[in-house]
Amino acid sequence: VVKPRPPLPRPVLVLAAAAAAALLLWWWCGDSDERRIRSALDLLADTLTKRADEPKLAFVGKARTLDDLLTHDVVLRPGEPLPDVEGRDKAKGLFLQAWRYGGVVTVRFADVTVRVEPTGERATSRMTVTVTHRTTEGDELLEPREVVVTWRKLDDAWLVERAERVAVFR
Amino acid sequence: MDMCQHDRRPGTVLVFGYVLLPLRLDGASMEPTYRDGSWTLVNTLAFRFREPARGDVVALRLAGPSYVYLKRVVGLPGERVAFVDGRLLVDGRPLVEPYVTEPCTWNRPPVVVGPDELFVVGDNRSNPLTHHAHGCVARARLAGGVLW
Repeated sequence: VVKPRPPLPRPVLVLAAAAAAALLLWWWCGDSDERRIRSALDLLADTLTKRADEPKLAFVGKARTLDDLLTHDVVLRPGEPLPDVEGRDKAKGLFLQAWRYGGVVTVRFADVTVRVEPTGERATSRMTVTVTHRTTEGDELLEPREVVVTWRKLDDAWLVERAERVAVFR
Repeated sequence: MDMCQHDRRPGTVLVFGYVLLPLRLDGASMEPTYRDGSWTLVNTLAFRFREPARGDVVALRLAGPSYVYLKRVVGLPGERVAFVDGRLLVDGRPLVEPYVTEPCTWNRPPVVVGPDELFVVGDNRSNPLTHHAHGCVARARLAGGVLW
């Protein structure tokens, strides 16, 4: 004869539900370093995205956003045919030049992983960067690239210190 | 360009997300075997129980499975691979490649495939060598093999 298992006492169930809810709330609203880096990446992708007929003034405003996302000595190595860039001012100059290109340019970061160092002052994220160029002739997906980004925490804000393409083939 | 995009619509992720990856091809580097814009499925378990063999068409991940390269394995660990006047040489001997239909003039010095690497290349050699993603790639990047 198998005795039926007694149901869990109600307080245990209530406590378990409360703990699960608290964990979910922390996950959604928490301000962990990883979460902040992911938010910075979202802002970066949004900043680099060029909408249809975006006025130059809006582009200048977006260039200022890069002050909050890149260190002054940032190093960008996106790989051929794009040029290497050293320094935030150069990066902003290059970004402003992009305004002249027609069509919509959408930047996305896929498969993002973030690893924060135990000191909490530096972090590394790895992702696939995609750029889609939409013109009147249709969408063109430029070659996606795997990129490693190094982050530095300055004045409690996470800034990109280095971004470099990872070579898949040798 | 020769990338494939993993279909991320919720239904396909639920049904296929882990074992079979539906891919839409973007690029012509595997033509005529796989046409630009066509679809295929990648079996992520294909190389769980066996090593990739020469001739296998494999998916190679970037940072994750959302975007992958689709390429053919032509060189295995320890082999010496080179292109001479468009002919693919493995350990000095020309490889018979019935899947290549366009002649090419590629030249690439020999490279020895590392112990944890594969040499992969697309079937379409009509582009200049510098415009075609190919070469030795870490085996750890294998996302699976195509079903057809």
